[in-house]
Amino acid sequence: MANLEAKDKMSPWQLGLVITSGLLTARLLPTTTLLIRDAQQFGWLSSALAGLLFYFAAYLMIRLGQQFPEETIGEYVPRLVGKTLGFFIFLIFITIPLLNIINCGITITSLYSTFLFDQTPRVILLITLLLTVIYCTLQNWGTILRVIQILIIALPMLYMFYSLIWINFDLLNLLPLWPDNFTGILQPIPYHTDYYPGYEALLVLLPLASRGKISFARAVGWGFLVVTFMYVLGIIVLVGSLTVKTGAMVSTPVIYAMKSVELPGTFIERLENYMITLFFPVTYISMVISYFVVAEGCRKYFKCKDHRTFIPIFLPLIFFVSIFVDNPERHAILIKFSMFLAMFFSFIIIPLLLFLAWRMKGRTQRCPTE
Amino acid sequence: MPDRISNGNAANIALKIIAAGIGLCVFLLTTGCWDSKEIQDRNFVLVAAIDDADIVNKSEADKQKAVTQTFVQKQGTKEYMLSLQLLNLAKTEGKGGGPQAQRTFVFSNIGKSLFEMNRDILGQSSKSLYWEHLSAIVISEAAIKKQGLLPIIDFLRRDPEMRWRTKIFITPGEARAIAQYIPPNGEAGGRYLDGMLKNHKKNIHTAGAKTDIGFISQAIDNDADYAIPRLDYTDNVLKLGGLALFKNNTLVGYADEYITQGIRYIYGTERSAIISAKCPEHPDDEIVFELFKNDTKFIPHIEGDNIYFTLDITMRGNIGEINGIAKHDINDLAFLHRVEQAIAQTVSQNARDAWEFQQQLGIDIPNTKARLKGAHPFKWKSFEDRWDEIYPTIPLIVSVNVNIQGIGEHD
Amino acid sequence: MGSSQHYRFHKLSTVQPNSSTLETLQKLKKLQNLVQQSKVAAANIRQVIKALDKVAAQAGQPFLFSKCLEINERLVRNTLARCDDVKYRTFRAGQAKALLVYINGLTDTNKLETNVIDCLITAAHVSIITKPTEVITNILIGNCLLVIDGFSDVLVIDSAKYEKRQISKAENEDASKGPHDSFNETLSDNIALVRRRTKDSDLKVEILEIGARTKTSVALLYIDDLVKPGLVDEVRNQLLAIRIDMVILAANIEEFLTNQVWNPFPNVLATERPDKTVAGLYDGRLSIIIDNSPSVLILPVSLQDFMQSVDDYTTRPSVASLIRFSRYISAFLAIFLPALYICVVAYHPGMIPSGLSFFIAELRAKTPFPASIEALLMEALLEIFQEAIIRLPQKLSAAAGVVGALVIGTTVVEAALANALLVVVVATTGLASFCMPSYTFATALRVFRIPALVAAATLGLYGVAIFFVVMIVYLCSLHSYGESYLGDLFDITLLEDWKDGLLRFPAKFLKSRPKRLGTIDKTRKGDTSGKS
Repeated sequence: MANLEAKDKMSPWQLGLVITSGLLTARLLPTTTLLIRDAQQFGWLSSALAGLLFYFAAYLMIRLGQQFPEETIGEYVPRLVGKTLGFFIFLIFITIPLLNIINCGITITSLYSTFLFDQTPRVILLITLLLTVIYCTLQNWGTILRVIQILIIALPMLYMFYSLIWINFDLLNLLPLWPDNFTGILQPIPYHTDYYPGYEALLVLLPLASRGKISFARAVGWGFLVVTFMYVLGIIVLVGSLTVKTGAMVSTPVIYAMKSVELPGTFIERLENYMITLFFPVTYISMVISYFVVAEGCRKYFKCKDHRTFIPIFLPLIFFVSIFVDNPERHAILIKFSMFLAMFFSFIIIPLLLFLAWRMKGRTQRCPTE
Repeated sequence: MPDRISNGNAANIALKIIAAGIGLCVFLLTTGCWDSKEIQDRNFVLVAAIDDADIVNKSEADKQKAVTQTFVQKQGTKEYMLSLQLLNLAKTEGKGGGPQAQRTFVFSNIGKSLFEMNRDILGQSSKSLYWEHLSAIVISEAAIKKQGLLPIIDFLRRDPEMRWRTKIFITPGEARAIAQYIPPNGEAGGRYLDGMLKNHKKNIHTAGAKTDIGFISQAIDNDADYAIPRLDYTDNVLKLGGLALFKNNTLVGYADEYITQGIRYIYGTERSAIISAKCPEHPDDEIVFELFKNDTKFIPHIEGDNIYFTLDITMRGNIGEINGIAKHDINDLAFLHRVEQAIAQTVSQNARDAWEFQQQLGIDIPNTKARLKGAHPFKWKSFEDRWDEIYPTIPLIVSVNVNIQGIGEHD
Repeated sequence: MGSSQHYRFHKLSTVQPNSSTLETLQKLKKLQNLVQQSKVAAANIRQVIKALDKVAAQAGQPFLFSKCLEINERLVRNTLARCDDVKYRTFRAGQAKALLVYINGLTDTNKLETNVIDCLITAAHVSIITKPTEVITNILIGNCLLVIDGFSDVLVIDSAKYEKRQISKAENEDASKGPHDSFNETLSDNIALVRRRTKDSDLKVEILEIGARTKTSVALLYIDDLVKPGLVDEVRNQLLAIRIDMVILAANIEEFLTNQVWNPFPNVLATERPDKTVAGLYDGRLSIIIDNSPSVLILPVSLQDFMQSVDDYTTRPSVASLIRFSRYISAFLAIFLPALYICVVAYHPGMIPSGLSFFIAELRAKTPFPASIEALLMEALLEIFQEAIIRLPQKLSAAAGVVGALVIGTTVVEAALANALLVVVVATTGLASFCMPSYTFATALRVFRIPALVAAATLGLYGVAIFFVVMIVYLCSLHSYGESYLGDLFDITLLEDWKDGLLRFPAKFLKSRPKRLGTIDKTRKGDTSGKS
């Protein structure tokens, strides 16, 4: 049946929505402990600064993408830096969303097996999760976009649920308003790769978006603003209701804070279970976007017809790495590695590529007859 | 549905692999259901009572029973006795107007680690123990005196199945007796205890706003002092009143109802208190003030070398009762004003008494340390290490303002 | 290829060397684009012709009649192009040629005969037919054949008597405040019911014949200047490609209008109401009326259209919005309520207040079955009950209601086979699934109830979350003529459509047609230039 869809490209607002929905995942839950431990009652400032920083990286990526319209990173990087180096950069680019999927999978399955289940092996939860992710990624981008637009309703519901913590807010826990050491605020900024993951998808998704009334940078900027605002308020209320010392000692402060909320007169209790359930679609969306980015990026790099070819290729890798990381030590190593790689790619490789692209453009403009 | 034109072989193979994966998954899943346990197949733990293990040395019968109830330990001591009150699903009906159907029953065990004792109790139980509906934790004073509070509640803090808002009590007597207590209204024991403490909004002689296990845990993390409600049980009479005061996780004393009231005034958590004062004209009579709304400001001040705290309370309420023989002209505004002053005097005296009581014990329940540090972080640094010497000398300046808004229905 | 009658397949590269599938695909794509563009161009050209006809006319009129019969006939034919129910009858009125134009079904043929034809000619509805197959078909319809000795031309006289059911109330879709007439089994009557509601010359009626043996007439209705270009051709091609023996039910055609044959959700809306059909036409949809079937198909539709009912538009907007929103909640409950019950009872009893969970535990202590088996048993009982109610004759169905209530409700609980809470859950689920305006949609929801139950029984709340997500992905992947089934519900590029999606905004705000249907004319404003 012919597809009579009049539109086959995203609008800029949809691109902003996609990037935003990839930003909030369950990955932030264990990282909050590290954030509170280092930045103490100024975690919110740390998050705000990190939001600005990562938006800057996203902005650079948009500019890079706009130098090569209709092309994904796999197509123009070999032209910029040569085949071998281009392959390595592309490999790094692919690894980041893969690590995102692995981290999200590990975190959400650990959450479920700790708080909701007792004996169920984490492997089973992981298998079902990965199969569900693949089922969505096998569809075409139009369907995935629509799934995202529906499942993202869970995000405001999650935040409204989380806002119940305000009941236990005590301003005293946020005082004093002067930090003991300023470096403590800047130290956790690299950890925020767990708070703002997935914006590398821009490098592959930009060709799928058409121009509209608003520029891409603005749309993505609004998305970052909303998420940063949510994080800032969220961390303020978290520290205000939990105190810094408790937040630094608990494995998942957000879930622990939800336990303190009691709604007398209603029939719901153990609100942390509801919260974990609402985290599921939000994390799922991020995993789907990452997997699609990997498949689509590879498709364009290897010039294949269909992104579905690459989906079974990465599945065993993701599964086995997720199973291998099953104790806190290995998890810490994985988080550090993901953080390092993401920062390296966003703040060293991308500016370099942008610089090379500008130079290349400058050269071609200067010699138009060539 | 994928577009026909781009549906190449690769997509077919991918779909086949996924179908095989789903088949494998279904196979695995149907052999599983690891955590499926029917609700009636669980024993709900309602009360966890922790006693000193020595209480079983009361009688020979008790000692024999204790040996059956417990287990062999290669190393370590047997310090605590854990008694669990479990819900009885099959209610036994009393025969011909006999005693009420027993809703709960109690199992006990003796050991050191609560987790170990908990699992060993499965040797006495036909169903697995389910802690998610734990309503009350009762700890006896003797158990606390052994090694403090921390070893006892670590299991309850660490396990993800526990709830933050479980109520915790300290009792000077035997905790197991409270677990065995059958409430007169037929409620399950744990729910009864939970409900008792939830009355804290109206009952100013006990504190319940920040004394759940989660808040206690938070205070422990912050190295702060905390208070736990006190339960007394004598001859089938269960009474909640007063607080047990803890410093560095050890019990340092009890605050009686009067001091508890004073502490609540300082904290600002008195919701609907009843304050009785002597009538200014007829000292034998008592006028009772029913508080509806209060506005409390507890502010630290540092001026040079002087540290002091100010407590400003504004209270609004009604006259609840005039308990006396003499006739009072309640419509006389001057008289009402004197009544207000008398009540304010009572409140401020109460607050000061509580403040001094705490200072004598070296306890800091309203967390004045954190308030000072929060309000004056730079000056705090200068006397941070001398805090223990300074604290008993800090005065509290109380000013109370009472407004009587109503005098009730009948004069 | 220069071969004989039978077909042989050759490789493209033997005929055209150096060709590759990739290139061919690209060229095919270009060709498709060109065809699409040409359809748009054709639609534009039709508009241009209309505009040209208007030039000579008076203000507000589409054309001007001239003295020549042929020109007048052309002008009327152009305006009423592709309306196959319009009949043209040329004859001689004395010396001059005459043309009679009327719509079969709307015109009272008796009046026509007495007032017009008797004065001018002596016989009504007479035609000369040359093809023998057409003659036989006409006889089978009920017309009579006049054969005159000496002449090879035969005359067919229109004299069919249509046995038909009177126009009555809609059986399955009655609305409380809307009109009560519904389609019957006669094609001309049904087309007439639609035509009566709109005097729009752009309403085109194309009559096709489907069914190799039954040769059933099927009418395709659409509003010419509203519908998406290419959609009509696509549907018409699909209808003409149907190769079946007989068409006796609307469902026979419905199943061929989709590629996703195993999908439980309906992708065309079958309705008995003419007002729903006309509303759909003016949204930019097509309507298919099948002879001998009271069900009229409306397409393309998506999930939102199955959740709308006529009552939404006859009650106040705020009330209608609440009711429509509650339908979505009911759809969710109809699938997930038994699954959530199993989650709470078997996996996470900590999520309900202590008092309630003690109460449930005490209830369940008396029943023997595990929660999942119990729920499946009650589901099976509910399904049997629902099937039985449909089959019973009307006189017994009241008694069956009582029996059902007794059996399922009271007796099962007293026999301690299931607990009372489960009966409430299952009853609520059943009622929630009956809330759907479309019966086929409600039955589709039932298909998902058991997998949800199984998912909850294996993995608790996690299983329910997984199943929910899988269901959303499945519904979004369904396509119906370019429209995603569920996906357009919260699409942010279709923000104008949200006003009539989850909620129903007041009519003042519903100024544009659904953007997702891709209509040519988006606004619902009246055209004051006067359409013909």
